Amino acid sequence: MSKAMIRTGRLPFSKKGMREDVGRRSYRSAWGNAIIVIFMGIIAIFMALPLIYTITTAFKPINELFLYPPKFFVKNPTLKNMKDLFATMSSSYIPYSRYLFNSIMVSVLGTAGHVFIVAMAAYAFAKHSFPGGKFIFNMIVFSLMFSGYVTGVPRFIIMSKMKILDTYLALVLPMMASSLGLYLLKQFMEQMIIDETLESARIDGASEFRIVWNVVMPCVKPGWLTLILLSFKDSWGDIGSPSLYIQTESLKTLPQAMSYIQQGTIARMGAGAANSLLIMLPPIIIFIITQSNVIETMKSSGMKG
Amino acid sequence: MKKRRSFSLSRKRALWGRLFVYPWVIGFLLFLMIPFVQTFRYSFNDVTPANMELHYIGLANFKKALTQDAEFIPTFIDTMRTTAVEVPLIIIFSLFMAVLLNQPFKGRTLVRCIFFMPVIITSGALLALIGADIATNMSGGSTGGASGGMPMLQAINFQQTFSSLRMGQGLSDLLALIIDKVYVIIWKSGVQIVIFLAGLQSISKSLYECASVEGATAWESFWKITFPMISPIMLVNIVYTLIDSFTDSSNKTLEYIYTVIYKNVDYGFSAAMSFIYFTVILAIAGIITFFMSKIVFYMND
Repeated sequence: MSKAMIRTGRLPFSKKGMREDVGRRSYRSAWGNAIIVIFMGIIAIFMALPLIYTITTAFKPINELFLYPPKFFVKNPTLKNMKDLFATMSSSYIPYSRYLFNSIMVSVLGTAGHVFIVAMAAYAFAKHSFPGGKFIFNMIVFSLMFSGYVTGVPRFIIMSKMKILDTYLALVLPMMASSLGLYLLKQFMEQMIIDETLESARIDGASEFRIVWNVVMPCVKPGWLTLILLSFKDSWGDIGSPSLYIQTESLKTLPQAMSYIQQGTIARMGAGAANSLLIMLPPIIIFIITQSNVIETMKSSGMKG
Repeated sequence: MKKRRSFSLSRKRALWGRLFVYPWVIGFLLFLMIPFVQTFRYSFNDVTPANMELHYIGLANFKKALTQDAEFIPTFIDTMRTTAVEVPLIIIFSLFMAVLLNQPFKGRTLVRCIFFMPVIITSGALLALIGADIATNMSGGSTGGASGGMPMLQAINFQQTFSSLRMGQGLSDLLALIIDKVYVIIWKSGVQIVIFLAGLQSISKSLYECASVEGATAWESFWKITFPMISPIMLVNIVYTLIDSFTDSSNKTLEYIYTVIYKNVDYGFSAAMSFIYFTVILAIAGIITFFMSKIVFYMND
């Protein structure tokens, strides 16, 4: 974009003749842009420090791990820590891969179920009126305020009555019922979907079920992608509910396994660092996948301007 | 004939709507509502942990929390004060960042990812793990004077970093203090930025197109388009931030309540405290939602 364009506030046209940058404030002064880039750069560097440190530490050989003051970067990167991690854990009673599998299982099942259930409920709350709907929705907001830990004991009793204690279900089912996702999606649907769109879908003979999945959900894609991200990261890192509801060793998740690795001796230090990196990666991967989709996929959402 | 048919059709639609809610409502009742009511019952009772037997003691638990207990009220006020300062700052900062990050530039996903990092690190287990790990590594076990909600900051001891850069003592202290405050805000706004971004992405481009054809400046289109369109999401974010800071595990009041539940095993007293806490949060959230609902704009209205 030329300077003249920036000054006059003219918007560039791409080859297709489409205005691509409309709505993005691309006609700010060059100085303003520079300041913002510098500002964000500084913040970003500070934010990235812990990540960089975790990555480099995972590849540090043992003599560098105990340097004081510690060095930020690694001099002789090694894969020994990773090997140690799997070696020490496979010699123990439950192999590391089992914990990994449990974590993935719980997070994926819980997230998928959560999005599925919440999407339908959010649609009903946003676009249908039924007796008691308002009341139930107020209860949702109400329940958001109450910390899960505080209700841990009665929840435990209910699970034991349902006989789902010490199974995957004990972790997956409460996740599906969490109410923040419902609140988020309902707000999105209320805002982004126009009743006329639904009406025309109904006239075309779409069933309510199809309307949710083929009409409504594509329009609120940023909403549910964000929901997937939040739900996944919550269950992936959750240490509270697994430690309350799971006793069987082979059903425990990664965060619980971590404590064993951490409790180990100095020799386990490297394995611990490798473990931190492995635990950090999946949420980051999910983040990148969902976020790049949020950016790319917003076409016209069937809204009138 | 025709009329009746359309009537029954709309009835059918309403039925479907209700059907869609049920799976969620069942889960909600089982895992949130019933435990919630149970906790409420506990608060009026003296609970024997061994067999969960209840002895009705009226308001004694509440009285204990409000008048006798030495720790509850001070920690409570402290929590309130921190939240009152942080929540507005987090909302403003995250909206600002989201608007910036919504613009096309190279490496946008990377920068977004970096801003989301704290959320990943502070989620549960990793916090304990990496936080402790780096803390023992970098500051030899002694954590710096940073605030409680900021384990990573304690971990990366800025004072140490700065003094290693050979700046003056006064300057490095000052810098550490500023970064401490700014960091708390940045650290806690990861999710809010992502939610705002999703909201910004959902705004129809044609609205901006119209506005720019009509000659609106970027400033005008922010306040006349972006702001009203994002306002429902903003409400979500405010509620989220409130809840996040009130139910955060590093929250002093909750920490105290947990100790009472899981260490002292006094279910009745802890239930009473959590209900006092809950009522106050609810009141605050209610007031904010009430005032926000005057600003929030819905497309369909």
